[in-house]
Amino acid sequence: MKISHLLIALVLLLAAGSIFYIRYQEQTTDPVWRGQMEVQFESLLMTDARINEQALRSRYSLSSNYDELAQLSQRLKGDLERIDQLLMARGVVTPQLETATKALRSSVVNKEDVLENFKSHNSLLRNSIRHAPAVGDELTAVVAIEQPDSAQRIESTVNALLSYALLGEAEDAEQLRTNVAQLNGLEQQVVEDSRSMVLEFINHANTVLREKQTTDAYLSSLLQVPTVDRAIALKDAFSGYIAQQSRGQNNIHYLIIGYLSVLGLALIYLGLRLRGTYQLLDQKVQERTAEIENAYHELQQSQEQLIQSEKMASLGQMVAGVAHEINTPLGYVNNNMDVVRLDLGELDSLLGGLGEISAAMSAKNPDRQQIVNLLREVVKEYRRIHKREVFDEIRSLLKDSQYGLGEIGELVSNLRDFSRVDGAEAVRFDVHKGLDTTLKVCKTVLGDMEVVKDYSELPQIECSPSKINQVFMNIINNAAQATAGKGKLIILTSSADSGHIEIVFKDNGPGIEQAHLNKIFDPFFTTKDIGEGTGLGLSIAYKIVRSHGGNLVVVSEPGHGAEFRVLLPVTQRVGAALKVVEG
Amino acid sequence: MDARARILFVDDEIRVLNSLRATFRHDYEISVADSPSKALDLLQQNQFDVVVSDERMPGMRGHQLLRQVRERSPATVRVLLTGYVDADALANSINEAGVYRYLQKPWSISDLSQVLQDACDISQAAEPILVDQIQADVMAKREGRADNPPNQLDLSIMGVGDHVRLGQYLPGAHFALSERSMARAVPVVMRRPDIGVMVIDLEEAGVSLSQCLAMLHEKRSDIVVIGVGALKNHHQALSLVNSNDLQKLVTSMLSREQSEALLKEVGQQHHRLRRQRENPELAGGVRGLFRRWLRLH
Repeated sequence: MKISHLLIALVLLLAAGSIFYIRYQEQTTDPVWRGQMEVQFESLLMTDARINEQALRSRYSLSSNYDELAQLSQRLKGDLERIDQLLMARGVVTPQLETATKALRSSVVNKEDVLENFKSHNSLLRNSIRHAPAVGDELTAVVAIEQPDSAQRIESTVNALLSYALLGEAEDAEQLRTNVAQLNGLEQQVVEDSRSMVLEFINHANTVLREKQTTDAYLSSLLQVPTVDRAIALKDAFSGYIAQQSRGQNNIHYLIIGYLSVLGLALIYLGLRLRGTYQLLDQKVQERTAEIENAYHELQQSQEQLIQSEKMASLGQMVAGVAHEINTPLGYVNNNMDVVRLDLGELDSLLGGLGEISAAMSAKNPDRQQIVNLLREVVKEYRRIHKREVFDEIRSLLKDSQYGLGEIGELVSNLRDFSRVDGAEAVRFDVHKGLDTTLKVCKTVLGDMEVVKDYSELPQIECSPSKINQVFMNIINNAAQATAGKGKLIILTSSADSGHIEIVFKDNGPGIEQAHLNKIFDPFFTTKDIGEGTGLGLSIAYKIVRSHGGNLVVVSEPGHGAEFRVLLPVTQRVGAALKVVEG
Repeated sequence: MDARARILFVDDEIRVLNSLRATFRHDYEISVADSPSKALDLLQQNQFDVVVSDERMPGMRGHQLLRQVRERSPATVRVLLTGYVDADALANSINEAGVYRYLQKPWSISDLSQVLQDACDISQAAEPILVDQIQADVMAKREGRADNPPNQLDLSIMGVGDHVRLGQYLPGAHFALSERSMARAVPVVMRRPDIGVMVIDLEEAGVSLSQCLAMLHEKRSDIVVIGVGALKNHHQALSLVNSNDLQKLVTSMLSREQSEALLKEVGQQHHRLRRQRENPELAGGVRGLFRRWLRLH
């Protein structure tokens, strides 16, 4: 039990951990985040390209100021910072990414430096390029008349300067350098006012010669700063990281699938086990139910059997008593008949003698002597028979037999009264007659018990006579058993009130213990040994009395006998069914 | 001594007595008593060959009366004539009263006549023997061999049937031998003179019980037989009682005290029977019926 609990806890922990892990993994491969990264990369590359474009533009004087470049430069740094932030935000730190980011940052810084240098040099260069032609034109006009060669040279110088500055041809540089050399000293030849102008022009030309190369070097440097490569490297590293992550995620997917499969298997296993357990439980429950049903059935059966055996026991007792009561008169009546038959045999000789006398007397010539002799024989025979008291015997035996037959007849009629088959209909019943009948039937059970009857005037009551007789019998039996057939039973009857009669059975047995009083009418309650009583007699009596709308109570003190009081209504409710439960 | 045998009938129904007296008054000297107490009074003054008693009478049961008869006058043959057979009365009639016959009402005159005639024969034959026995007992007592209680060691008990079950009925009884059936037990007993008592499970005894018992009594008249177990029916019980094959009948499980008292009594009975058997005068000449009945003492 404990191990399985631990296992369940472990599985739950693992599941929770997995959920957090998966959640974390999903964060790092969040598509929105990835999109933001992509945009930042694009932006960075775009910015870089535009820096290059603007640098070129400004080199060739297409744009006049550096505002945009400065902005772009800022933006480039910003883009880089943003990428860094995005990576940092998700805590993405891998050596490759770190290296790539560092490299990109150094190129960005580098590019910035180069750009600054380029800007300063380009400013000088552009300034000279812009102003040189104007100064040249003015100067040409000044010297055109006095020194046409110089004017031509100046014009050529301007051309070479512009050509060199814009196209960068080596010839032009040579031409320019040559022209500048030739123009040196021209200031001495021009008027005082134009002297500064010449110096300015030469200065411009020298500036172009000096700055054009530097500027172009910076520009080329600028264009060569490997920001793009590094950005792409970073992007690649990022993509690599993402790929790795998604591989990881794939792994996680496999893991999840595996996990789910395991979980599914576990669920199936648990389900099967649960099913097994359920089936087992179901089977157990069914078995138990069957057992209980069986037990109940058996109980019911044995209860029926007990009720039946109680009936049989009462019946047996009754039969025993009745058999004894009937067999005794039957015995002597039967015997008397035999004796009388034998006695009658003896009378035969007497009657035969008389017959002979009669025959002799009715002869034509009656022989007196013969008649006298015959008469003497008959008288002798009569005296012999008389001496044996045959006549008295016959008389008395027949009288006894008649009495015996009367006894039998009375018993049979009592039995009929006692167990009169009556339906549910209540009939008028003389309680005293019922009591007497029952006492006769119970004679055997009562044994030597002294029965005192104290009857008072009672109305006939409506009841089921055989049932009420059964009540009397069960109570009388109980009293007889309590006193072991040697005590005294007092039966009192009275009209309790106008509607009820009361019959009291008082015995002088050992009485009923206080603890048993409440249970005495419970079915199967008995103080007798197992097998000696069913414990149903009094409970049946109680049920019968209750079904008649009466009451049966017991009053007893241990040592002072028991008193059963049967209270019965004189009339039954109309249509009251007296169908008493058969037990 | 009166030439005619003397018979006492006891019944609480006077008409039964009238009838019986009318039937037998020509052949026997008849006395009647309509209550046990009157019967006891008559017994005090007279010697009877046979006492026939009802079982259910107010004041005293028939078997109780007959027990007193047995104690006062062992040679008087006891007969019960009762209207109803119940198991307790049956067992008591054997165990306490040692009745010769247990008869039912209504009776047949011819059967009753036969029983009375046999009973009178037995009584008259038994009287001198029993008187001798009593004298011998008195002599023995006087010479200090008093009581001579049967030594438990030479009184071996044999069980027939399941000895565990037998032991439940007779707690404390030790079975030296045990056989499943009567047919097997009889030959064994013949070879074992130390066996004095046989306890037989009546529920398992089988049909040949009475034949086996008859054979047993022929050869070993000193063996006391105790029947044990609930009786199947009254018919079986009655035939057992009336065959006089059983000396004791135990129909319910006894307490240890009851069991020990019974075994002690049985031991004394065996002791007496052995003495009778060893007496050559008795061994021959006495009719089987009589010999069997003697065993009830």
